[in-house]
Amino acid sequence: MADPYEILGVSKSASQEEIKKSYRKLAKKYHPDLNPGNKEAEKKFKAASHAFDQIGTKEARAKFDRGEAELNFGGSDQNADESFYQSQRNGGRYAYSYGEDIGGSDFFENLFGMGGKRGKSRTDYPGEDITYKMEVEFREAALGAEKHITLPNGKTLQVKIPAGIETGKKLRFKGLGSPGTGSAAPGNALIEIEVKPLAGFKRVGKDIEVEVPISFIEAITGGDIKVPTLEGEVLLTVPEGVSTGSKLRVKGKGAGPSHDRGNEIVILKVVIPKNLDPGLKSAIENLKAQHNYNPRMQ
Amino acid sequence: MTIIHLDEACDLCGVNKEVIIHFVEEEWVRPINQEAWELDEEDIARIRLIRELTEEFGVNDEGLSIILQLLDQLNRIHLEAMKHEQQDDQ
Repeated sequence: MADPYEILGVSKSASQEEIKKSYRKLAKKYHPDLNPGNKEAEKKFKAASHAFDQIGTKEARAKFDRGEAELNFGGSDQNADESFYQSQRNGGRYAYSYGEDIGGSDFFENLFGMGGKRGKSRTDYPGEDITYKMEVEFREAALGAEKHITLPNGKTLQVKIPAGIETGKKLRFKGLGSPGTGSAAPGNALIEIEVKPLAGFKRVGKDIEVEVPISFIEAITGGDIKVPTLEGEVLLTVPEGVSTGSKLRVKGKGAGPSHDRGNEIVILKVVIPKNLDPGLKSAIENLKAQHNYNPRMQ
Repeated sequence: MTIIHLDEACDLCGVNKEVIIHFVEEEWVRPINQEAWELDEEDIARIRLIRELTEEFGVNDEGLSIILQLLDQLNRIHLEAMKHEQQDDQ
């Protein structure tokens, strides 16, 4: 006969508390109602229960240790051993009353295609969605484009990239994922967009930020400067008295479709040359003597 | 099906009447004939299960209601699946 200490995974010198703890752990794991229909679990649960009967209390354990174990394992009344799950397999009154008051039976009818809704068999499972990644140029993402992508199955897809799309957005192609089984529909192909960076340009929602250097003289006097956009250079009027970080807007040169396009935001950066022309430097020295100012004082 | 009276059910499950009455009041157990306090094997198995869950595993009343509901659901799925397999075999 199997050793109850071994079945419960405890040593001969284990305390009653340890035995109880170990039994509860096994009982929870192998309880027939939590493992419906699993014969192996049921066997293990019964073995653990019997082992616990033998050494679960001080009295029973003393008796067992003296060698007076009862040898009636498995011989008890069948009804008394019936798990709740077994009772439901034989009757099912509780199982079938579930959901009666909340209309839950629809779920079960749909689950296996029962209740007269024939035609779909249990082998009809819809196909899974498949996600593909696609890199898109910065300009294409901002202004829109048409691209071709070849799927691993050799199929070529024509993908229309909507203007203003951002990294992480997914385009869905219905029915181009994994095939379904039986009469079920196939899954979808999802194309996940990754926008490649473009030096000098930064997307902020629908707007595009561009940093443009200007001289300190332009910052003081203002003037027209050429700034890059996704569609070539444009002339931008800089007002007088701007600083590093000043923002100017070039309307309608951002990302998005023509009717809903963002702006280009030009961020100015005043650049002082490392090697100043000697003439300019002496002119500045003269200015400093006459017209200096302290920006740290209000 | 065997009809089991309340006294007998108490003996079979090793509990006193109040315990079974409490289970019925909580609607965890729904006797086959509640007016006459008659139970069947399913009710007995359910009472035993409830005792195991509460006394051995430390499940409280709130948790118990949820567990029983999920078990009923799970068993229903099992029964439906078996029924469906039998239909397919025919």
